[in-house]
Amino acid sequence: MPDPLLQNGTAGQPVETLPDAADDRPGTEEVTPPLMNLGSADAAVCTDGVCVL
Amino acid sequence: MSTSPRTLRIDIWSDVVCPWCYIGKRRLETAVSRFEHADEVEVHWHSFQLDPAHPKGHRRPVFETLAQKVGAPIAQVRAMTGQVSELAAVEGLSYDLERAVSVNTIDAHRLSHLAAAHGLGDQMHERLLRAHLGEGEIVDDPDTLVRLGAEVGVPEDETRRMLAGDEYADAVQADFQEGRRYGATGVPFFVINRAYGLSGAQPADTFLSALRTAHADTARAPH
Repeated sequence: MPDPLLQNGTAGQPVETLPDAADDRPGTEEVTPPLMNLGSADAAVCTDGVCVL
Repeated sequence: MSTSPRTLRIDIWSDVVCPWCYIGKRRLETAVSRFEHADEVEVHWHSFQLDPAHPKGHRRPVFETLAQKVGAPIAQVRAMTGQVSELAAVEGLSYDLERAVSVNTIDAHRLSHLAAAHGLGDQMHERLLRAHLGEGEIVDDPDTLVRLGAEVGVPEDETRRMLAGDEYADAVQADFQEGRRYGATGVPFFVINRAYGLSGAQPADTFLSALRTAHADTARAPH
C-alpha cells in the first residue's frame, strides 16, 4: 500500500511534495490520485490528539 | 447515490473531539454561504479518530490528557486552549474545554455513520462537536449518544441496537484508511471533487477560493 500523496502548488506550476506525505519508491502502485493542495500550510490542525495553534 | 458531473463534492475527515474541526466546519460553511454555486455543493463527513488507542471506557479531563501528551503543566494547556476558544468565539462557537472529557470516539463515529444513513450526517457531527467542545457531554456514554442522536432525528432504538453491537466499526476504519491514502495525518482535512486538498481550519476566503477553482475545473470538463 503506497503512502498518500499530497502536493503543494497551483495549476500549471511545479508542485512540491509535503513532508511525510510522499512515496516515490520504485515499484509502489498509486491507488489514490495526488491532491492539489489549495490551502495554506500553516492552518491549524489536530494531530495525534494534540491541537496546536 | 450518484453524483452529477456538476456537483461539487466535499469530503471532510474530522473527529468529534477536535477543536479545529468545529472551527473549520464553520469557516467552510461561511465560504459555501458566499459561494455562487452553493446549491451544487455536497458534503460527506468521514471519521478520523485522533487517538484511536484511547482505551474504551476511559474518561479523563481534556486538560489532563493534553498536559500529559505535550508534557506541559495544566496552566500552560489552559492558556493554549484559551487561544483556540477565542478563535472559536470569532466563528460564533462557544467552547468550554474546562469541562471537556477525553474519551474513545469510536462509538460517536459509529453514531455519525448511522445518522448519515438517515441523511443526518452533518447534523449529527455538528451536535457531537458542540456536545464535547461546548457542553461537557461524555460522548462515549451510551445514554448520552442515544439522546444526542434523538435530538437530530436518529431513532433511539436504532442507536441502542447499533451501540450494542459493532455496526459501522468497519466503516469508521475504512474512512480512516481512505483519509490516510489522501494524505491526512491530522484533521480537519478537506478534499474537493477528489482532486483538491486542504488541511486544517483554513480561512473562509481560502475555502471559497478552492471552491471556485474546483468549480471552474468542473465547468471546463466535458459532460
